[in-house]
Amino acid sequence: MSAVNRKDSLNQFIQQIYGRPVVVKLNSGVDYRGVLACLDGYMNIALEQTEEYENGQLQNKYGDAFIRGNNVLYISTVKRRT
Amino acid sequence: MFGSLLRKFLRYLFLVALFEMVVLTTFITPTEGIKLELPNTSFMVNQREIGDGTLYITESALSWVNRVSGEGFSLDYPHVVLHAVSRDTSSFPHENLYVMLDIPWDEPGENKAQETSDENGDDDEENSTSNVTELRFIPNDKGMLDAMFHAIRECQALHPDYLDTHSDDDEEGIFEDEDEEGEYDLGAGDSAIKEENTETTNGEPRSEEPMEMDAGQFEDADCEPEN
Repeated sequence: MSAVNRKDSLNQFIQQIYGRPVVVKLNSGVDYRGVLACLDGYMNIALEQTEEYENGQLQNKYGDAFIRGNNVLYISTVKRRT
Repeated sequence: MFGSLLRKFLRYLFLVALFEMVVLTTFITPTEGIKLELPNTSFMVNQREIGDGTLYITESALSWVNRVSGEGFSLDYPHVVLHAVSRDTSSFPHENLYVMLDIPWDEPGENKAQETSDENGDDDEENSTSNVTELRFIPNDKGMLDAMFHAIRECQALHPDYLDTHSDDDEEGIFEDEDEEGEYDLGAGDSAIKEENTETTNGEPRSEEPMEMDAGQFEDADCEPEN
C-alpha cells in the first residue's frame, strides 16, 4: 500500500536530516536555523546551535532550543553556509 | 451589595494595573510531579526584571514564585512555543533559560487583551511581537541550565497539542495520519520537507479535497437543528 511506503520514506528522510542544518519557520513568521537534534511525530523539534531570525535579522542565539510542534509552519533543510 | 462587588472589582482592576497587567498571584507551592526545583532563580518578563525566586518544573506546569513577596504563576506547557538555553551574552548579559509563550503576559491562559500589552510598551521592540511573551529564568547556578532545558522538554512531551483531541484520527502524530493530511514532497529530496497543508500543524482536521462552493449546495438543508 502506497501509504505505508510513503510513511517509510518519510521516516527515512527524517533520519537523513538528523544532524544537518535546517530552517524551522513558526506560524508567527520567525525563523530558527540550527542543527536538527530531534524531531518527533508531533513536529516537536530540538535544535542545536540555534539562531533566531526575525524579518531576516539575527535576533538571538541559543545553544539548545526546543520548539513545540503546534507552532511549526514548516521545517526545511538548508545548504550549509560557509 | 452590587455596589460593593463593583468596588471590589474596580480595586482588583487597580491592583492588576499596578502590576502592569502581570498576573502574579498568591502561590501554592507545587508538591506533585516535581522534575526540578531551583531556588535562587531570577525571572524576567519581556526584559523587565520581576525578582528572585524559585523555579518549579513540574509535570503539569511551569511555575515560579517570588522569594520575597510569595507571589508567583503557573503556566501550562502548551503555551510554551519554544524554550532554549541562551548563552549568548552579547544579546543578554547573563546566561539564562529563555521561554517564549504564545500568549500576552497579562492574562495567561486567555488569548485576549492584546491592546494592554502595547500600553506598557517599555521597549519599542516589544510592539512587533506583542502577542508573544518572552520569559527568562536566570539561575544562580549556571550549571543547571541544561538540566532546566531537559526537564521542560520532558514535561512538554507529556502535553501534546490539546487542539488535536477532537480529531477522529488516533493521536500518534503526523506520520500515522499523514495520509489524510496532505502530501509530503519527498521527491524534492534534500531541498525540503514542507507540509503543503499548513493548517494541519494547528491540529485542524482537513478533508483531502478542497471544498467546492456551490451556490445551491445547502438548498435542501434543514433550518432546524437536528436535536
